[in-house]
Amino acid sequence: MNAPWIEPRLRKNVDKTLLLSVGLLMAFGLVAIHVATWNRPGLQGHHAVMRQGLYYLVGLFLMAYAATLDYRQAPRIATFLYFGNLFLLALVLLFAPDVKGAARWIRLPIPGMDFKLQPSEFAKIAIILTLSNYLALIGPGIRELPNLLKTLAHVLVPVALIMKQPDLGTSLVFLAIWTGTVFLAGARWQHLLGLAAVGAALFFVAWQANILHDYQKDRVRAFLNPTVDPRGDGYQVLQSQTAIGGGQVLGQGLYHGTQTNLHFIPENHTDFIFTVIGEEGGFLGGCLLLLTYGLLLYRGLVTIAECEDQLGRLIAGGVVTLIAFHLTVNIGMTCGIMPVVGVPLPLISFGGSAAWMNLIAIGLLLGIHMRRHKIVF
Amino acid sequence: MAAGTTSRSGRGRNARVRSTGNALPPHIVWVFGIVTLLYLALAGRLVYLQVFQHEEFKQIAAELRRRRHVLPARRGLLLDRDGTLLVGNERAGVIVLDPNLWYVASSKAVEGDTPEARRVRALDGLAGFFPDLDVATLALKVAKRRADGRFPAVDVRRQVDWPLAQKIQAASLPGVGVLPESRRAAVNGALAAHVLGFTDLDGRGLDGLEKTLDAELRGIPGVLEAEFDPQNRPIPGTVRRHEGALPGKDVVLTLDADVQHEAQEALKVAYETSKAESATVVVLDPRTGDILALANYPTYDINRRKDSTAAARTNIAVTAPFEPGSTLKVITVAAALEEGKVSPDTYFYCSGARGIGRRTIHCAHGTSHGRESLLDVIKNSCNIATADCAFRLGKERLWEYERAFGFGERTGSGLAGESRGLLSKPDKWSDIQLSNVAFGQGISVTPLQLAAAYAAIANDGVWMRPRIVRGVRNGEGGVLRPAASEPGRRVVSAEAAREMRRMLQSVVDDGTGKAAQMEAYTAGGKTGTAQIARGGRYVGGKYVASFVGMAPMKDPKFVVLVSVTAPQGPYYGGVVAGPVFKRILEKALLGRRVPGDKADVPGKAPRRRGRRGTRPILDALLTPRPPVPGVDQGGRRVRPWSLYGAEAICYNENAYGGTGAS
Repeated sequence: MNAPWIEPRLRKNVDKTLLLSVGLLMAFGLVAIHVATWNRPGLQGHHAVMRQGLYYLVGLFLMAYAATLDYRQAPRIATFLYFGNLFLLALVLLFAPDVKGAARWIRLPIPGMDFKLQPSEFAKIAIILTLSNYLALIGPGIRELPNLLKTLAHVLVPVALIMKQPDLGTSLVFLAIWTGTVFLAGARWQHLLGLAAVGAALFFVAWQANILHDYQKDRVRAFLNPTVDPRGDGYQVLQSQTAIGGGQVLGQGLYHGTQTNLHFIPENHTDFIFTVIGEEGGFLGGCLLLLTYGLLLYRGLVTIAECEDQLGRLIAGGVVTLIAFHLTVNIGMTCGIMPVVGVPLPLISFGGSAAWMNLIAIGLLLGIHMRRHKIVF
Repeated sequence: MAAGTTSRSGRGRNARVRSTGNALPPHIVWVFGIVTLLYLALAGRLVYLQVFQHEEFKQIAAELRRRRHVLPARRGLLLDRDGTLLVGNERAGVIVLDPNLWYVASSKAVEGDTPEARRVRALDGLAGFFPDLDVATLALKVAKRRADGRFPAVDVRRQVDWPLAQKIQAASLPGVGVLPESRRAAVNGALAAHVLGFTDLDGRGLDGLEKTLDAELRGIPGVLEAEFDPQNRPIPGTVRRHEGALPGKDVVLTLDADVQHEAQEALKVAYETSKAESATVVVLDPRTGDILALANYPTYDINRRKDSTAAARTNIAVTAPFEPGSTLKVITVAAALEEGKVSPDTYFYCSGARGIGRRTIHCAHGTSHGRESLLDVIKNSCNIATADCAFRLGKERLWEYERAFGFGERTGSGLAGESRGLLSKPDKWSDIQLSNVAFGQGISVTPLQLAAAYAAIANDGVWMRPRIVRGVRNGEGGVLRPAASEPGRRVVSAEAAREMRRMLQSVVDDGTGKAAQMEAYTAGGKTGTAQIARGGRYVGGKYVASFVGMAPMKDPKFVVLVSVTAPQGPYYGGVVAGPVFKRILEKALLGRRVPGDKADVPGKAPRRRGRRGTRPILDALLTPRPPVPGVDQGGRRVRPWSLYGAEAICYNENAYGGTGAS
């Protein structure tokens, strides 16, 4: 069914610019992780960088494999994918009470490595594929509200499972993917605005009724006014902002960031890695990163535009939304214009599952780009 | 053609999808626009932060790191006259609870790790460490958000034993932190508790010498103003101000730990066997006024003062004046002798009673002493003859001598809470009052005042101000700066003093004070058995039994006062207080290696009494000494600097509140 390797006539259509941007981002990521961890007790030396390099290597294979897959086969496995995904997410919840601290992970018994898989990361891919498939089936019917609500329900089931973990950030990613994809599929913006209003109202009720976790509330509060108590809930945000601000135009130089080296920013090799880039690379480094992402997103948008097939467009749209959302929320969070939700910076933040998920998503994008023309000579 | 096309061709809507094939999809432009907008927002924020506002953020960053740490000064040590450590410092812990940390979650939250669960874990854990902790009150204290939305952090316990504090730290309860602090620690909390006193939790003196010497002991805290990393270490190169703490001065006291210990032990026996209300002992060095020992019963343990009552913490020896009774006769007779109103050859006649105005004074138990010499007056403790001496002196003169011997004013020894006693002006005295004062009624004195007065007799007539501070040592191992020595005040001539001592010796040798006789040393003193006056009238059946004396008589090295208030059973000063006096002096004289002087006196050689009686010094030397605090079994002083040192100096690191989130 699947081509064992990319057919030669497709191979020439590989999006080399996209690959270049991926390579640049990986380089960015390795440098940033090293800078963030080189003198951190417990993560000393090149341990984190070596691991991330290994993740990238495995991820590149996964990406290449994803590119070989013909996305047009997706409808065949959509049902399996959707329910398999739900099963995995449910499995995480089942394991949670037994293995303390593993609420989001399934521990993989790989000898010699403490590797934990995050099913919620791969759920992102699964949901892009199944939602796109569903939307392609509905077609222009998406302009009708009941159909739109059905697609929302399609997403809300896994979102509910992830909320239970609890993981606000990932839940929001799913909603973003849904918004982006249905919008691209042709949903009416009036419907989307209306649903957003309802969502806001529900959020308000949830706030009042104490459904949100206290720490989640505090994060929102801290987002709204981080300066109230610089050492309390707004700590991360303010520290991160000051670090980025301290980077100035040219940055403090690699390995010379004050806040970074003194470990003022917790998790600065994962969620807050942009702080390191902002402080040590300055405005220049930040813009360079944004431009590299821009290249990636641009190629994604080009893929959407050039794709002649609705399913391909929607999948590509999901991938673009996924990456755009991640990077906007993550960078926005570190520089204080978004609330602190645990969302990694795509291809930069330390972590295997996220890197693989992103690379698989980009692999899909590559595959769609290769097959963008219905007729290939 | 791609393989997938055929699979899609079967679908009904395929035609419509395909129809849009080459045109742009409907919302792609919008998507493009939205992504661009997001980009602009991010880039704009970066421009704002990094290009326009960077100076401000640099400042905020520095401000976040900058902190001012107070470096606490080591509180000075209290040492005995030979440098034995009495009170030092040790490391203790403050247990703090910061409920805010319950609400700070890592972005990788764990199921079951809710603030409520953390709260329960922290409170249960603390209750486990402190069984007497009122958890409910503690929970209430930290339950309410303040106006700024934060919860108040509270000290759960202070001055916690350091090993326990470390255990609590190791338990890593959520929101529970341990900060080091310094704690005052007496080597033996029961030794000289009334003299030394105690501090509050912050090391400020509250009572005793800790209070009166606070200025010397306190030192000056230092300041460290620098930028700190999240582990609270100062960042090199950022130190703005660093003034080291100036440690408090060590104070060397006049106390002798050995004598103090013996005095307490001896007093305790008397206090317990007589079931008295209270008991006091004062030991002075008559030549310097040094207070070698001072103790009261009931007493308390400095290190566990929380378990004590206010009564147990009262330093009776200086704060509680009492009517001394017969012991004061010595002053009257000495004054009369000095003034030439009487001489050793003067004879008196005692009929047992004498009418003065409309009142009558009696000798104790209605005995009449008949014709007696001046020496007999003291030996018999004759009221009638003493009153006669007072009349010969006159009110003014007697009052002057009482003042000269230190009564009616604070001794200024440096001990906390001294009372001046009660000595009314002579112009208000009636004749009966004059005679009463002469034998120690209608006048009240503190035990320390009385001991100091006897010390003047012992010191050939020169009154030395009692003192408790021998000198001050600057910091660790510094040179001792002796306290300014004050010249004494001549009260009576050396001849009169010597004559008085001869009389006092006769009291011990064959008068009321026989219980104070020692094997090897001559001793002299005066007993007192005074009715207790409370609220202006005498309490029936309650007496203060006292004995004040000195030894050896040729050149007294020690003056010892023992008074026992309201003993049950025998209440005569000689019987109750005499043995205490004897035990303390034997120990003290031995400690100073004072040679026995009794054998020198012909015919006064100690009677052979069994095997041990002949060689008291040698025997005593061979007898194992009871352990004395601060002195190890070999008799060597424990080096004070081995008992404190680096351990005692600690900084109040602000170890919590630094990293709010993780």
